[in-house]
Amino acid sequence: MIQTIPGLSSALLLAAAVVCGLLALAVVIRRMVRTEFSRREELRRSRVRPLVLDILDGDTSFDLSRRDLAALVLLASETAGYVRGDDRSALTSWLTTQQFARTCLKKMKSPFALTRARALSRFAPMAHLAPRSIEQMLNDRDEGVRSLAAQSVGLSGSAALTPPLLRSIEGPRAIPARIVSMAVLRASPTSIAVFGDTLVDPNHRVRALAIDLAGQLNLVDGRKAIEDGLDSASSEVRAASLRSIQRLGSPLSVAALERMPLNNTPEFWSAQALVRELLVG
Amino acid sequence: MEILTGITYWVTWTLIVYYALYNGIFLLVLLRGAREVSREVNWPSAMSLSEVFANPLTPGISIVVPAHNEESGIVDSVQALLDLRYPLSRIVVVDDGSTDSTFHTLQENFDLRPSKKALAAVPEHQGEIIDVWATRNGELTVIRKHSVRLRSDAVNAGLRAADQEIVCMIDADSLLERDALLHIAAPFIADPTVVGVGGVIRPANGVTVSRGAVTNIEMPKRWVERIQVVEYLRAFLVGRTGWASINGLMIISGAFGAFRREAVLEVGGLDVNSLAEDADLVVSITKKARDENRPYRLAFVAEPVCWTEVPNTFSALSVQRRRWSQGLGELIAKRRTMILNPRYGVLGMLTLPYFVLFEFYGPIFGVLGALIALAGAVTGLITWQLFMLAFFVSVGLSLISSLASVLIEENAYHRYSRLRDVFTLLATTLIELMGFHLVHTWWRLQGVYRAIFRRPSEWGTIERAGFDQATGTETVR
Repeated sequence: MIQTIPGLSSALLLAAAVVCGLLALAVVIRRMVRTEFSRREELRRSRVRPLVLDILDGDTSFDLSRRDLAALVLLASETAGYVRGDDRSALTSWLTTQQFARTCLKKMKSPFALTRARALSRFAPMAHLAPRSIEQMLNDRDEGVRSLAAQSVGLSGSAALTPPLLRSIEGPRAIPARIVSMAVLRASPTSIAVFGDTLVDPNHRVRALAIDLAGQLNLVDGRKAIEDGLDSASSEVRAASLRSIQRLGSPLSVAALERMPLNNTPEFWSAQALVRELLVG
Repeated sequence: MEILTGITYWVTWTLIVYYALYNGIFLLVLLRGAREVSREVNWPSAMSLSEVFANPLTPGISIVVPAHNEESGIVDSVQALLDLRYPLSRIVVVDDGSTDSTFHTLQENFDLRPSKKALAAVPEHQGEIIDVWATRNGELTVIRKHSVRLRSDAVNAGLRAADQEIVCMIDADSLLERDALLHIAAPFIADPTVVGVGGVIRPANGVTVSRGAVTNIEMPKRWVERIQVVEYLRAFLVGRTGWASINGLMIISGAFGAFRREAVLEVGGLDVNSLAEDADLVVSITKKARDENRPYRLAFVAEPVCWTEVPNTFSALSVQRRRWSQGLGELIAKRRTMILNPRYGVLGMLTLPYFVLFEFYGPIFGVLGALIALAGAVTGLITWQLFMLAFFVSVGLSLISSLASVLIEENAYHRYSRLRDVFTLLATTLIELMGFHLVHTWWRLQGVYRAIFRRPSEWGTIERAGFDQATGTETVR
């Protein structure tokens, strides 16, 4: 027979009842506290919302309480993610005066992934202020944060960050190629110069991705670099070059295609078909 | 007498160890689930979702909707699917031998024309395809086929017309939230090894729907529906999130789940002979990936995305639960070589054994153990102290896990807006455990019997009452 401690069962049942009661109470209290907090927060945001328009107009001479100012900073950072050009510049300039960028950058070094992710998300519209910090986040230890950093680069459209973004598809802390591609397309660079030296990167995957994206973005000034990919030893790069040449659709690429060595590879036959397509139109 | 005392005593102790393990493991899964839910809720996802929506590289989704005699709701369902926020979705409705005007209603409302769309050769299905229709822009395809009274056969026929990278299977009476596809596509984009994603399903009973969107959420009126709200919270929201977090997910519900098309076709689509074809698909995909040493991951999105009507009578619920239990038994028998096989990772070493021991055989332990322990305590064969210990590990810990699930929901999503609903939810957790649990165990026991003695599989029919539709300021059923 197993010896049981006298009174143990009653104590355990009582403890379970107490825990259940506390859980039920926590549910109710959580609901009540949230309702009240949301109501106050909504009131505060309604109060400061018109001031966002004042910031956009360059009028920042308002005097607010500490909590109202915090609400306005949050609202302005959210709005900055949805606007472009002068409006974004006006908001980010004001946010910089409020030490918002500094706070975000500090939180981006937090040991907690969630804190880093939230700070990064808020800092995204101001990425051009600290591209090095965003670049470091592309190599973050948390894969979710890394993906978010790639999306931030796309959102910010920062040209300086495009090469490290493209290179982030390789390495032990790689970002999925699809996320990187989506970010580059979101940034929509208008010149091949933004791709830096990734079009001649020694890593075949990086080079193939850069060439592919140059074609998808229809970067006509990148035609020469794209055509150079046809001479690569990697079939992945050659295939990417062919796809991009086809997308650009320039008859000027015919010469490069005809230079391809005669062999029985799939790329060679694709190139021949492409030559006909470009010549016939 | 001594022998009887000894048997009762050791049966009670077995019951104590059994329930301590059962609830202990579930509480650990629940803690993992809570962590994941918290991370998902607090994670800044707005940027990711807008990326998925706006990007030309977002993978397309084919939504396969099997429909059998759904004339009353099919137009609304399809319209709601067409209105979902997603850049590239193609809907494939499979009219599975409907005898009502399901097809004609679709034809009239969506201007369907005969289509010469080439269907893939796989997966195989039994019911012969009559013809294929499509809208001009190709967003909606309708396949008419002869019914063999199997949902899985209709889905397999639909998979032949699914031409996008991801396939999503939903029931015709399920209602997706507007961003549902964005949520479910995100894991596929973030991780190339993800082969399947499940979404949270919630009972639609009690919610109000307007133009294909949920506009008001209240607790249902009937206790049988309320009990299922608590069950779905515990099993879907917290349980499956927890299992997915350790890559041990075994079920992605047929009511709403998405898979990479290639992964589904590799295993031949759904098994038409299985009552648990959704779980069978997940296990098959896992087995295939593990056998071929390929990296894979099954993810679960905790954000509530799919609303489905649950049985609103005890008799309908009993049919469903017997079927679930029998289906689980059949699945376990089919996949017995995977159980406790380290080759199959967490699924083989933890999830499957857990489901065998606690979900399948649970009713046997529950009914026999509880009867023997109670009888033993009443007749004095065991002490009341020992009985109370058994009561603590079975009922006490279960109640704690149910209440913790409610707290997680309240903390993360708080979908029930009225305080009155929160109190109802709390009361329901108590009623579910104290009364309903016994009835439920009995239904499951019948399912176990049918599975063990290989009774023929039966789907049965469940009466649908339809969603509450908001009309102006009134709400009518």
